[in-house]
Amino acid sequence: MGIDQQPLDKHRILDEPFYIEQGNEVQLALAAYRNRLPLLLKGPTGCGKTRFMQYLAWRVKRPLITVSCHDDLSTSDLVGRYLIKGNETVWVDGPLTMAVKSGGICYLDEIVEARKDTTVVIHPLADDRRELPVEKLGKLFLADPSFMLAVSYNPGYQSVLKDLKPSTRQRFVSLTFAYPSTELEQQIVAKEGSVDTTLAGQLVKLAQMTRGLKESGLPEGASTRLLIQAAHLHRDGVDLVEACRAGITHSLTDDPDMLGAMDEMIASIF
Amino acid sequence: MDIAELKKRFYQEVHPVHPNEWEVEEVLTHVASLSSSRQQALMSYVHVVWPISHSLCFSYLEQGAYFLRNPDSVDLAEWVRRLLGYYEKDGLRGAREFMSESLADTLAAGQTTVARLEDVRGRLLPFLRGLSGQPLDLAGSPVAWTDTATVYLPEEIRFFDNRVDNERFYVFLACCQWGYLTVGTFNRILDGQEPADIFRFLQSSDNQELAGAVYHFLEFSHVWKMLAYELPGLMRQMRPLLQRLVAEKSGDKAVGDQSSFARLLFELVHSPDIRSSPITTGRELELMYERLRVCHEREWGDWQFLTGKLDFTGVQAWLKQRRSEERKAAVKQLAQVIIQSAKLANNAAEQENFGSLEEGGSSRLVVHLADGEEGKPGLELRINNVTVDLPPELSELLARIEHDLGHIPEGYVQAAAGIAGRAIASGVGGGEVEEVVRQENAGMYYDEWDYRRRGYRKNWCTLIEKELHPVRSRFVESTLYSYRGMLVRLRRQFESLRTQHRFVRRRRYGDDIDLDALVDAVADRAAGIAPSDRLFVRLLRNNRDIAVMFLVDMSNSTEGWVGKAIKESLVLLGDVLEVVGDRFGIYGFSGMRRSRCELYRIKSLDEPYSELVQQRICAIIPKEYTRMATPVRHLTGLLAQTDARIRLLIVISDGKPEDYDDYKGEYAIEDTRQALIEARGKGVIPFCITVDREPHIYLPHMFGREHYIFVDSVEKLPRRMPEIYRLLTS
Ligand SMILES: Nc1ncnc2c1ncn2[C@@H]1O[C@H](COP(=O)(O)OP(=O)(O)O)[C@@H](O)[C@H]1O
Ligand SMILES: [Mg+2]
Repeated sequence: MGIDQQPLDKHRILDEPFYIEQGNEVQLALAAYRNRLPLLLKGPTGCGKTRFMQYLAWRVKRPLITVSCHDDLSTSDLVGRYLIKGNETVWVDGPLTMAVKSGGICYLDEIVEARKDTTVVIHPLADDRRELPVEKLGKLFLADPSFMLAVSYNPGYQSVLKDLKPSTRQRFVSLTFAYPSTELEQQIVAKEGSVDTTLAGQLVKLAQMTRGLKESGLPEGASTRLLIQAAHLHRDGVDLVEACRAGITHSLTDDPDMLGAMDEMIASIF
Repeated sequence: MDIAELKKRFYQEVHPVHPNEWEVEEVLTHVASLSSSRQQALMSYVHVVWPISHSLCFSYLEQGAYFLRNPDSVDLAEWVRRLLGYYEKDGLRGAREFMSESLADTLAAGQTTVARLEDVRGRLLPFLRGLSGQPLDLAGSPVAWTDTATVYLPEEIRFFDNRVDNERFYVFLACCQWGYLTVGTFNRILDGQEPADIFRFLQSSDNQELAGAVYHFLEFSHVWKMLAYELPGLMRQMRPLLQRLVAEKSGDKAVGDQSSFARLLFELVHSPDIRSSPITTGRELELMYERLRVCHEREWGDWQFLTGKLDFTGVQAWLKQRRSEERKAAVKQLAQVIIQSAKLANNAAEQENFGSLEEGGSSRLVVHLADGEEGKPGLELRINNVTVDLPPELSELLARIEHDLGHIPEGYVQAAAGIAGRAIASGVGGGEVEEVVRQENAGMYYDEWDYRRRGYRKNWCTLIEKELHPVRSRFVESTLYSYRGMLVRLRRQFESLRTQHRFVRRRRYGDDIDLDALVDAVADRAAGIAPSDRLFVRLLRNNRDIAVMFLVDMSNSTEGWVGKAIKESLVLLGDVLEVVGDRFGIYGFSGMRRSRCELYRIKSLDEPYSELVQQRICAIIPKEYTRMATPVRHLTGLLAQTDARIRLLIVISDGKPEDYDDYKGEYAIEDTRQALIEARGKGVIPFCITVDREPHIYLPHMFGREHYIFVDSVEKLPRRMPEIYRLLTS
């Protein structure tokens, strides 16, 4: 179980993370932070949401506690639970409680993956009460002034039904992330993948082509993360075409026609 | 097999028809000389081809024998599939042409050098869509061109002596058409964005045909340069091929004659890559025109195999149609959004005891479409100054229109506001929206599986969703009454299915401490026994996350004996499903021919089980035919959209797929089977309940051995159905 017993200091981000702003998301998020409003990050996977949170945490100098949500996540996983040490029971704070008490940023990644009855605990934290009731302790924690709640979800990926309920959603300041613009993405891939800008540009072009395949049955195109991955493979000596296939296209689909099409794309670009 | 044996086999295959002996004999002499395994292979398709056309079947045997005589011919199945494809498209003539051509190919030993659109299509289409980012289509045409919605490419390419190069040429041609779209060849001319001097030149030069050709050449060369820059990999491969091709096709002219298109193309394919302005200028055009004045007019046409053709009328027609379609769609969807949000506003207002929007009437509806606020991409809709979220399809549509026209015409928004205003004023808001939605669903296309070709017939069937008109009767009441004893038992059974959250004890991890276990552990330790580490309780959640669709056969073969039992079953099921709380939908289907597969909505997945639904159940009556696969495909799609853990599709029929046209027998069985396989592939579990007096032997094949149940007497159905459902889902 993901019980985090490390001191909060481990979650502090000391060096500036590399982050290129896409629009005015930094300004918006800082304003939200000052006004103690929670954040909702929307956008496809691998477009920089996690990196953005790291950057934000660094900017406001608060620890960042990330929880990846999944089907089996329980309220205890967020809030905390009793453990047994010898003959005694010991309460251990969950990541959310930790952040609430000591004023960290708690980032619930892919929140729609978690079940609704798990995520109800965030409701009183998200509105102006900013409190966290912990039933098992019989306590109500008021969030530290510097606590921030952030959640992310990928609108394209889940079915419509799983989208956030308006009641949840309207508590948040929303930041919409998309894949970065061509030039930005090129810069990011060049920097993070340690390749020259020409190659980075070509990788971005490939990604953009795959992103055009939604209508043809590819639910999600290549993300920035995959491009960086391919760049790493190539830098490590893997032939470029192979790097693109193993690092990008084959991670996207098994469909032979689609793979054939993407092979043509690779052949055309490089 | 010798002739006599072949004949016997042939007559078996075509039984009960008995064609002329001498004719059969003549054809079979060709077959007789094949090896026995090849004879078997050839004969095994007779029962497929014969019902389609007798003449085709004779030609098939004769030509097929030739085809198989070549030791390299291995894929007879593929050959037959193509043959039937050509037959369907161009009739007997097309099929015969195909056969003689493929024969020529095989004989020339070059069987594999030709590239066919049909073969590359699978990957070329997504390639083109990815490249352009637009939902373009691909189709065949002697010369490459595009109407901006579809890219037309030749059916086959045989310029080079190996297939890889020919296939690469396909990619190149597709890229060129994309190139024309990208450099804006069509838009600039049609929207009058082209510099005026070009227009003047195209219209007033003394040789307009030449002027047009020159213009095309210049556009092509821009496309070429753009491709060289954007797709260097492609052009690196293509350049040597095209250099060879141009040299071959032009002969001496290319080198000698300065004022010929051949020479120009020769220069182009040998030119170094330089990035130039992508737009043809009037000056360029004039110079080029002067240079080419003396050349033969017809010459440009000879190069269409490379450059394709520009068909402005085709583009214009499509453009007009598309714009009008987009306008209609945008107005309709906008109206829906407006009605819906007005309704929401009304509800909110009512709740808070404020005056509702309705009181003010439609005049108070101020609708406005504007660019999103800072940081938000796209457009947003303001209704009475309140910002309303646009559904993603509408946002996309509006973005397309804006891209196309440069702005969203105010008329679209006002038209939508007008429709919405009238709908709200007349108080039919809700119904209207549903009506509109339903109309949009009208005519969805589905593929059909043709087992003879082992392929799909694309968009073959049209599914029309309709609503059953509710019928008031005492049917439900009396059903519930006559089964009352059973119902009590059923309800109890189903109640126990309702798994609530429950705790499991003595777990290694969990949400809470298991006190009993802890006490035991402490005691154990005190007694010197190794204590258990299973000290927690864990919450197990309600995992009964089920969505189920019932698809009811409403064909006339259910007339009388099946019909009533099905209705009773549905009434009972509806009752107990309410108890257990599973999401369920009920649809009936019937129809006639592929153009009218009708689906009757009795209850959609998220609709409450109401009196209205009961009245619709009462309205179920036998209608027309049983083309089962299309509704199966449709409901599979609906189920696949849900997030339920278990998605179940239960089909209730008398088990005989059949339509008015050729949809019967093996074809119908195979199509149904295929649709059910598709469903499984999409994470939907199909299950079929068949009611008939005798089981048909094909049932296990059609439904899959584990996926159906046969009920032999209809009286049992109402009792069996809830039982079956309970077993399926627990
Ligand atoms: N704006 C950006 N600035 C810097 N790096 C970025 C940016 N966007 C994406 N990346 C790179 O892409 C990778 C994937 O992004 P990530 O934040 O993990 O995506 P998400 O959380 O949205 O799935 C990051 O590790 C980073 O290398
Ligand atoms: Mg992430």
